Amino acid sequence: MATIETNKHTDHLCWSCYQPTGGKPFCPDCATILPVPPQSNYFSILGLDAKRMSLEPERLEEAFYALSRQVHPDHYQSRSPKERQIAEERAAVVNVAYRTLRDPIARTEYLLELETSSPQEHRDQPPAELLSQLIEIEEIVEAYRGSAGAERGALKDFLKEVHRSLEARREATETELHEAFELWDRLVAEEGSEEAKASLLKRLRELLHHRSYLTTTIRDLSAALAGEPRPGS
Amino acid sequence: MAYSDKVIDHYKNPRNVGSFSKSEQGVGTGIVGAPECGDVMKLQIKVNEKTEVIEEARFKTFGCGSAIASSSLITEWVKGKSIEEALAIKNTEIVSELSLPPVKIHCSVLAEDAIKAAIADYKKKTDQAGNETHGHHRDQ
Repeated sequence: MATIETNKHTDHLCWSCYQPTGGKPFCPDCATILPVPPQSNYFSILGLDAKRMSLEPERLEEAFYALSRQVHPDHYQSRSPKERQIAEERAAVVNVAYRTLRDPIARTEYLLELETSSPQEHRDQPPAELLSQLIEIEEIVEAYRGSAGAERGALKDFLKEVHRSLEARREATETELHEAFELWDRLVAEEGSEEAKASLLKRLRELLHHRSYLTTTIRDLSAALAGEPRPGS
Repeated sequence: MAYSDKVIDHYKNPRNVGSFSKSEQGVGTGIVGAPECGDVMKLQIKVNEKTEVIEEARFKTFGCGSAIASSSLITEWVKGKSIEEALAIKNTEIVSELSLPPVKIHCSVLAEDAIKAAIADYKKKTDQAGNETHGHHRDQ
């Protein structure tokens, strides 16, 4: 469950009255709007617990609307150019933070970005079995595209079945992702070992990758069954 | 996104599309994927076991134009090369030949990974065959 609370940066002073800000969006002393602190991340910007992954969409939406209202540029029309500029920046960053965190996939990608230094260092072993299966399916999709008559009918029925099973596998991936989110939150709360965190992050990355491969094949399969050309990108 | 003429050419007329039987003598198979976009690539080489020269190459790539062009190009390049020479091919050579934009560099990495995986598979197969003829049969 997401608890909304402010982050705990205390080392910033208000640009207007020089009082400590506590990392809040507005100065607790003079209520002036404050720039986004440099070490903040999308979680802290939305006032969430550090890197909490199990998020309730409703709570997240509430936090987003509340913050958006506070920093809406319309409220700053009559303020100084600096305040207007800060409000615009805050509004923009709150938007990006919300759009990233509300989507479980984008949220996972963002966590991996925060927690792992460089994605290039993590070139995992490809899931050989899954890729072989997907290539086989893609080959049948090609055969279907070039087929006619009774063969076409049989291939179509077969591919529809494959489509259903791939969709089910993708859903299972998403369920596993949410289970991993809960594990992650528990690890963070209980200050789990770095090894445990690293292995869970690896698992999260694998789940994203699996989902991405499944998505490509599902997309190709849907297009073929709908009589559309192979999707390009 | 605008593709370069060379990418479009390889995409529209891909070279060496197809596959060999995995169990065929001298065939190495590499299957790799780009998790960023879900592209999947299967690349196979047929090696002359006496000279260790790659005589033929085939690929099947399911993905974007740049991934197809990268694999088409690398199958052209490795033909007639020794496996050592083929291992030395760098993805950056593909990037410059095809003028790939930064967002498509991973497609060239995929092609390099695929050829390396195919060669590794070939070596594994020939090592095993060698061991079998010397009486050290391995469980498969």
